[in-house]
Amino acid sequence: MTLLGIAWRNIRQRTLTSSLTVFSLALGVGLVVATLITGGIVRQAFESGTGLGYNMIVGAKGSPLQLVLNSVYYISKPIENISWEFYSDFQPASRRSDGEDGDFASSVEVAVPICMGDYYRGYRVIGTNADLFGKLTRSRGTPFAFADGRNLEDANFFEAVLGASVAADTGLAVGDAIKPTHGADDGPEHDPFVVVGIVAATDTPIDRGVFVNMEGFYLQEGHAKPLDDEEEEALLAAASADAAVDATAASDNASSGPQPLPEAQREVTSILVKTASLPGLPPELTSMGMRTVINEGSDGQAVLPIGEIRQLLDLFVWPLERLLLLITVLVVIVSAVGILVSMVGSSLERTRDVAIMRALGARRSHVLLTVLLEAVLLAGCGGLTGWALGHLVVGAIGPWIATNAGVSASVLSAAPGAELLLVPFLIALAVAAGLLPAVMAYRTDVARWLQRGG
Amino acid sequence: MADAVIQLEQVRKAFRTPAGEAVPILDVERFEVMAGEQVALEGHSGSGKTTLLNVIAGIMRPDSGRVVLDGVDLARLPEAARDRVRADRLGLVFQQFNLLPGFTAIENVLVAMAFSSARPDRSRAEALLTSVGLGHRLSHKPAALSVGEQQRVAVARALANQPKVILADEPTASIDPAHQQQVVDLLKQTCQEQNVALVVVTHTPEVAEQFPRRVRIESFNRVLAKAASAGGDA
Repeated sequence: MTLLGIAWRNIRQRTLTSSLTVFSLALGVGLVVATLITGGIVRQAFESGTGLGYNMIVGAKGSPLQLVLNSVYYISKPIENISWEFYSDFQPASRRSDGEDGDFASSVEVAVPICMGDYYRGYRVIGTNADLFGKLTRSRGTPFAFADGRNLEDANFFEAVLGASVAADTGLAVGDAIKPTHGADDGPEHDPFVVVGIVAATDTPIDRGVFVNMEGFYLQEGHAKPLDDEEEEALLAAASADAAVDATAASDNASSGPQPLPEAQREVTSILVKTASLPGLPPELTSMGMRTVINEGSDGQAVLPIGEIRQLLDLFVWPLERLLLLITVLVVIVSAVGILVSMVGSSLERTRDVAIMRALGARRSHVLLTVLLEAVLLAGCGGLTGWALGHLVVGAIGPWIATNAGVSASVLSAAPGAELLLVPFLIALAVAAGLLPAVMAYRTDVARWLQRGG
Repeated sequence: MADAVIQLEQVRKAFRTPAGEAVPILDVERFEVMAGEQVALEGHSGSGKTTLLNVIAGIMRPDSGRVVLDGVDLARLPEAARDRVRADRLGLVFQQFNLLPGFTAIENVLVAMAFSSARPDRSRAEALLTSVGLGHRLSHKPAALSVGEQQRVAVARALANQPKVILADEPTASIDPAHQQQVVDLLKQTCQEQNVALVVVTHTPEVAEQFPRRVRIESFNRVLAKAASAGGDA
């Protein structure tokens, strides 16, 4: 029989006390593990927004963070809209009604419009064009894939594409029709859009979005910018052909279907911009220079989402995560005190056993080690149970996290580095908790006990 | 002639009172036990019998003198080394058996092996328990064993590390007369078979008279003689 075997037998000898100690420690460790994992998931949810294939967001002047939260994560309210004219500055000649390159066109590889204001069953409805899924990427260069159906087609005004979480939550499939509501979930219903595709899960905010063709979006009640008298007169004077948007396909459609909204009545909420690499300059420098120019102007602001997201993590997410972790670590320490209380409580019983073992030839170091091993075993059992409990908790709330954060979470989700750190932490805690009873056992006076007991 | 496995020479031991006063308890000029010898050590309560056993076992260090156990002078060794010698060369049987209550019969024997230099040997532990008639009670805990069975486990445990000496402190004091004889027979027979010296402390004449050598502690502990001559009580 080894010292480990003796320690294990000592634990089993006090089944009820040991079980309660293990249980209380398991609860603490379970909380820590669940916090670590969900913290990692939240971080992942925010960081996932940094790899969507664009490096700049252009929107109305105001809070840069609000612009990022709104355009990347589809949370918070839009600041304001920017003009179609300003949006057109980022478009090449082929996409502009005047046939000339926009001011920033040479520095832009792709500029995707985002229009917001509608909802569908709690999810944000985003008016955009086919470039969102066709030219941007889901994560650092990986193109978007469709679990079912296809991308939007600019010529078909009333098409919709669903994010993976939306499709899973609503049960909608390709071919179904949806009616977005204006301004809020209980707002007036718009015309139906037909679902033509479901984006494969990306573990990004895209999973929580409903994407509709921007042309159809513009034609809904309340989406056209009101015009003053002068603008209205100018609009009436202009030929309807001149008011066609940009794409040739859209022009084809115009002859047989609904007419696109005139440019004068259009606005966009924000633009997702992927800057081009200018000769001799890396894209980062292009974006920095363009940002400065835009921010010095009065049309809007440009933000670099990575910087804003990092700031968001630094300011809110990490401090909150650390606070939660601190609280749960305190819970574990309280649980470790439970080990101490349990072991000190059984010290009278232990004294007799220790004296017997010492009389049989156990050295003081054997006794010390056995008691410490007992504490480590208790911590190990509590830690292992708590670890499993933490993962089960994450597994249980996984569907809720997936729906609300757009990140998949399951029993197998892990925070490997932090979870691994728990091992030495728990051992140190167990040794600290076991030290007092171990020293008490170490100091057992065998001769006195034998004189009294024998 | 057999060699001595226990040799005490000029051994003195005193306890200190809380006031710091030294109260002598042992003063032994010479005491020896030969290999394989079986000795009954008699004496009244408070005569220093248990202290003597503790000194022989290396649990206590004498204030002066030599305590040689199987050729090793325990009085010169630090505590950890004395513990090691005790684990390897000595078997102890206590008055109240003192089995570990959470451990089964075989585990009680294996625990003793865990502290010796030899590796714990389950088959030897089984053989020892079988030899004392407990082959069918290996996985029973002390609470599930009769008094006689518990004492037999204690004897098997004392033999676990093939000791040269077994010290038994009042091994029959807590058991009824019917079982007393069984325990004495078991100790004597087992030690004889394995050529282990046996020192049994007892204050029961019926037990002592069954041993070939009976020694009264008063005969060699000079503290008692001095106390008697001074009219005090040792």
